[in-house]
Amino acid sequence: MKKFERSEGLVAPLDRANVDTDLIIPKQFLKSIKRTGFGVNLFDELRYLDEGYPGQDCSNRPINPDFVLNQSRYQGASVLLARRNFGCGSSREHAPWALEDFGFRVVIAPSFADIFYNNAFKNGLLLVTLPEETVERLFQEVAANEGYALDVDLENQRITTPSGEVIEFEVDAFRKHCLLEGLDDIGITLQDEGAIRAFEAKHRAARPWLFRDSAQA
Amino acid sequence: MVAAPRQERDDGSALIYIDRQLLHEVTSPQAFEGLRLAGRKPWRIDANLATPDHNVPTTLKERAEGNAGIKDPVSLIQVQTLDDNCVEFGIEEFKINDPRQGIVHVVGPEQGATLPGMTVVCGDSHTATHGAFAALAHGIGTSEVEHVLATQCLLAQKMKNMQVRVEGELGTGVTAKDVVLAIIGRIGTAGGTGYAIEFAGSAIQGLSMEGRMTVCNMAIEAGARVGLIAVDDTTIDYLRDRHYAPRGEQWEAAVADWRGLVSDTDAEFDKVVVLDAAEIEPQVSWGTSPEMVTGVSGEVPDPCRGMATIPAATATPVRSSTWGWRLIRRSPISASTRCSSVPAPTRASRICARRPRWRAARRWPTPSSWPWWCRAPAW
Repeated sequence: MKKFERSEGLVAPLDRANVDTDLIIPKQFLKSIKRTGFGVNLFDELRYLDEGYPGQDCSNRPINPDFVLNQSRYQGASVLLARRNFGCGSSREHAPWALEDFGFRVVIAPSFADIFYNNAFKNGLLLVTLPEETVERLFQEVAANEGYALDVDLENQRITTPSGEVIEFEVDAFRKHCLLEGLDDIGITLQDEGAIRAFEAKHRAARPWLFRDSAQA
Repeated sequence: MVAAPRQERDDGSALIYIDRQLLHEVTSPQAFEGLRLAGRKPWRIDANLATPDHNVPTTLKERAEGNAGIKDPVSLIQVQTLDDNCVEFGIEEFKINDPRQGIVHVVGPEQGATLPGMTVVCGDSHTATHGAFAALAHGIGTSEVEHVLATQCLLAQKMKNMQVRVEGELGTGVTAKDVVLAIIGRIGTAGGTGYAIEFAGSAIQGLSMEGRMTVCNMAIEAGARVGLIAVDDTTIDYLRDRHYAPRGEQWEAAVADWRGLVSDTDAEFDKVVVLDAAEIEPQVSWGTSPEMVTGVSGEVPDPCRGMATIPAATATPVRSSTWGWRLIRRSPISASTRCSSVPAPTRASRICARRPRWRAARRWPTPSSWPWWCRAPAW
């Protein structure tokens, strides 16, 4: 998992409540043996005018010009501004994989679905929960200003708008630590690497037959 | 056997060290990709063993063609991906046309790669099969497969303990599958949820290793992730001279260690279930769930008449195309009964349940009191 670094990110607004995981990444793309490459199919049903299928070349598909991520002013966005209950639906980890693969590092919304919230942090995506009225104001500012970007500072739990306004946000201390250090579940376990190696050495000495490379031929 | 590199976490979970991971093509691709993306290497290559088994064709002709014999493109990609990942990460694989290839839960025991006292995991819920060797074995998900590959550990919570004792002698033609179906019939498909089950008692001790694997394999059908059986002479005799089993002095040391893998006589269990082996009949699986079983002298629901029941032993005529009737009629009558002629949900349990009895029936005469469809086919 990549470390979360402070950066200024272009904001794309998705003005729609209850965006579910099937809208984020439709079910037909779950057959993949990969966990990358889902970015081209992020919001597939909204982005394209035809029905997508796995393994398809998306470069020639008919684009929905009304969809926000297809508009030129939002190209290169890394902050997604969304409405309440973002990420509801299933437990599929493909949803945060797709958002990340597309290039998003932060999603701001008034609320998030529970499992998605967990999955997103585990996959390096920062979710910022802000009051409904703050989110509404941000939507208005994004619409009014082309090139609207937010400075997201996780370390100090602050977002700074282009006008210099500072918005503070809450985040669980452990999740924050994991994001800043780039620690996923494996990374957390590997913090105990010394203890694991010590156990392994003792285990090998006591029961060498459990280790094929220590076994007698 | 179990490592706890640090104390329990707040939620009661702790790291356990994994001695053996078996890999197959369905639940491993994204785990390997996760390693690649994070630039991680497997912690201990020799702890892993791979074989494709969920997507392999079953006919000899198709098998002879290797991967080219797989006609379904999605299946082919999965098997090919496993091959590629095993080469890239240096993991030993029994490929599709390797004589050692087989069902992933059988390959480990056959090769002596499953040993008593091991912790064994695989991305498949029937991993408890290895519990027949007094191994703590259970199924895991893809993200856990990746976690074990990268750290050799798994975050786990302690399970409750249940002992299921089957005492006495099994009747003629009553097999391991009948025993485990009878157990599930007694405790239900959720009866073992949250428990590790130890199968014990003289009837269990009397089973072959294959029989014990059959019993442990179905622990998950009773809701338990783990099912295991204590080590005895049968276990040790099975393992002697297997390819990956220890040899020489290590064998002697291992056997001495394994002899200790039995429950204390005064061990306390959270739950104890006792079955009388003499009362276990050949089981009739009449439904779509493993708990829908009864002995041949029991009664099964009459699919034509709602809640009414009929004696299992007399439920032979075909009265309609209702699958329940067809299942009952076709149960054990012929080795040539084809899976495709039986509705899908009933296939696995029915075929698995019956096949050992055919073998048993070839060796012993079938009691004439049994209905014709429970007797041995004419070989």
